[in-house]
Amino acid sequence: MVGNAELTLVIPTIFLHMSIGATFLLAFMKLTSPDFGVSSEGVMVEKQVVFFSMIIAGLSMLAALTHLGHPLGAWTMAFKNLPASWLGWESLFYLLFLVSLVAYYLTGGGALNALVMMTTGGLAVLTGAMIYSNMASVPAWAGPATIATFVITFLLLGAAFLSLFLAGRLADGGGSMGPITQAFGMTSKLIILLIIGALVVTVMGGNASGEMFLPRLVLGIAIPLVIAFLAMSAENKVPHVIGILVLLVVGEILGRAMFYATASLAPMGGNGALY
Amino acid sequence: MKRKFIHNLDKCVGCNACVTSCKNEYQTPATINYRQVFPANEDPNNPERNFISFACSHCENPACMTNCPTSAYTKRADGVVIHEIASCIGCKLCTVACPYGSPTYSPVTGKVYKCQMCYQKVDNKELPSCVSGCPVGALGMMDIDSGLVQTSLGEGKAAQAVDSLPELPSNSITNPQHRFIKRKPAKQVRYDANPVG
Repeated sequence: MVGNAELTLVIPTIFLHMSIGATFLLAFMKLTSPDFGVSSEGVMVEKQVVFFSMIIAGLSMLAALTHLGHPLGAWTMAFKNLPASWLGWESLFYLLFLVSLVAYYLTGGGALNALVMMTTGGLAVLTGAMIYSNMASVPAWAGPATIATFVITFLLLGAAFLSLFLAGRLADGGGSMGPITQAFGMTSKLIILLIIGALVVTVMGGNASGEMFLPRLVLGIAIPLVIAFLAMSAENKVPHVIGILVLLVVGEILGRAMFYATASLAPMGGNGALY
Repeated sequence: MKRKFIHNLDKCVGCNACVTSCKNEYQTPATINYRQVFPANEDPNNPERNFISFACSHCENPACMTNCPTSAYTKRADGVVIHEIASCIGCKLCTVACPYGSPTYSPVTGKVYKCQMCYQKVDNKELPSCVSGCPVGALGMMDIDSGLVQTSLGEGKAAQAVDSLPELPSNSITNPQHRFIKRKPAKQVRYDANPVG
């Protein structure tokens, strides 16, 4: 795993984090902004986001199984070591998240469902980060920077994905659309803040090296930041949001691939290295 | 009775017979070696080749076991950490969690493999294949309680064994149960200092 970009794991995980982030922020808006949840535009955005997140999450979870040597039966066996294995907890929370997404879609989603969706999705990301941050054998992973990286990824991609549907409603509706405008304003600010956060964590986490760093910096941080500022004054923000989302997805894939590929096991010393 | 591997660097000549014996016993694929021999850090004051023969440390706090989601690893009462192939889903977390790289993943079978101290042979009062295959008695199986070391050349007590080497990761990560006897510094003869004739 170390020294290998693990793309069969990275790509599905990035899309899974995107769907978790979008529904996390959607649920947050629904719980904290009553207008959003009852307005017709808000309900439409909610349905679209949940539907597409459900499809993406389901397909991503299936695709992520392909990185296993034996994917068949992995789900039934993955929970046998729950007390000790963070991977077991991650698998459980991903499953619960998907179930809550389906329930949300089928039932129209209430406050409790939204809370469950937020909690299970957030915990899936956190427990996934804990797998690596607890791994003392890989110094580059051990520590809080890994958790920060995972949290930033899911919130950043989630905000960008959610923005796509919000921008679409704004473009269709024209003029001021109260809750939608407010929600879009929130996600826009979050995107800018988190892109800067991603840069800080990438550099401070020791991942500012290797051949993937420059493409990640340009495609995943610099250009999206520029587009985000340009979008502020644009009337139709949909093309900008699409551009930001695509670049952020590519950037986060590069970032996560870098996370796996550039880490090395604890130094062995001298010329007697085991690897 | 708790068991561990002990490797005498002073006797080891790096012949890889231990690697071959193990491979022959388990008929492992080409890319899978339960045991590895690698050159240790050369001392500039003692320019001779040192070799470390390394398999699994059968740690007290095995990281492979704590990170495995399917409980494929278990620790026996004698300290041997066993990997059950049938429960392995090939997630490869153990290959990363282990500071020593002992578990090895085979992309062909999709499973992880690891040294298990030939526990079936040991239960039959035999030595692990690597130990019995060592021609110079550099590799041994040590009884932690009595300090008795069994090698291919006989039994005895281990003198001045250490639990770590500079080449290996910190013991604090997993509390490994390997032991080593360090190489004694060789006497270097300088003929130019005392020319003959």
